[in-house]
Amino acid sequence: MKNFKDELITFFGEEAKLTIKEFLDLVSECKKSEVAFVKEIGQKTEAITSSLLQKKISKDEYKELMDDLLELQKVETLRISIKTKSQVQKIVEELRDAVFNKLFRL
Amino acid sequence: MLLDAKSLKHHDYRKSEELILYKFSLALIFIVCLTGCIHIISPFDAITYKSLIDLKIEMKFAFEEFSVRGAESKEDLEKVQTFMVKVAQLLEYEKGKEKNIETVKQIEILNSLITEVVNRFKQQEKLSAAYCGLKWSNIESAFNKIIDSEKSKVKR
Repeated sequence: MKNFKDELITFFGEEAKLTIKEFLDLVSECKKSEVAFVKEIGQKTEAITSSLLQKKISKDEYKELMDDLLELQKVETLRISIKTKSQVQKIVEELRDAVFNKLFRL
Repeated sequence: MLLDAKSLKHHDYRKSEELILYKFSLALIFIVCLTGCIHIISPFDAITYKSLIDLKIEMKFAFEEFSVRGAESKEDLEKVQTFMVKVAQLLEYEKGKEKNIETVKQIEILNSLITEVVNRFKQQEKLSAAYCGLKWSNIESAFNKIIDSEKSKVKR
């Protein structure tokens, strides 16, 4: 992480030191998270930023790849919504099955 | 007089029996309405599931190659454009289903991620290996989430 911090300071300049510290704290917090998606975002942010620092990708590509993470957050929110709705649907259908196919056939 | 009391008792008994039957019918109608009419989400669709898996694997092989050597030939561009067409076809299929708004939105996002790759390819006339590797990582995450969403739907 120290090398990463130094690389960031070299890339963005000494004046960005405070912002870089905040950014690194946030990435580190994400990577430690018990929520799989938050952890994934932390790891991806670090990988994408590392590639920018090593000049493997351009600034424009960096912006696009970081924007993708916001899109992934939308996909994740929709995934949770689908999962919740499906659970409700399943319970209701199991109730119907219990009432009509089991109780009334006794 | 005795007969009247007996008939009154019988009448009360029948009345309470009717009330029970009435309440039971109401409860039955309520359950039928609750379970029969409510479909809050489209059911699991094996076609969607298979299409997503097939497309993910096809793209995985292509992007893993691009993330080593980059992409710059005409064939590479055609390959990525084919993926974009396949996602657009899947999107149209999903739009035809009822109570499927979430899946449609998810595939719209997947479509936009792949369209960005095609547009960048056309604009730069090539894609770097690093960009392809990182972009695939994002597209793969989107695929995994959409596949998991479909898998969680109720099977009929």
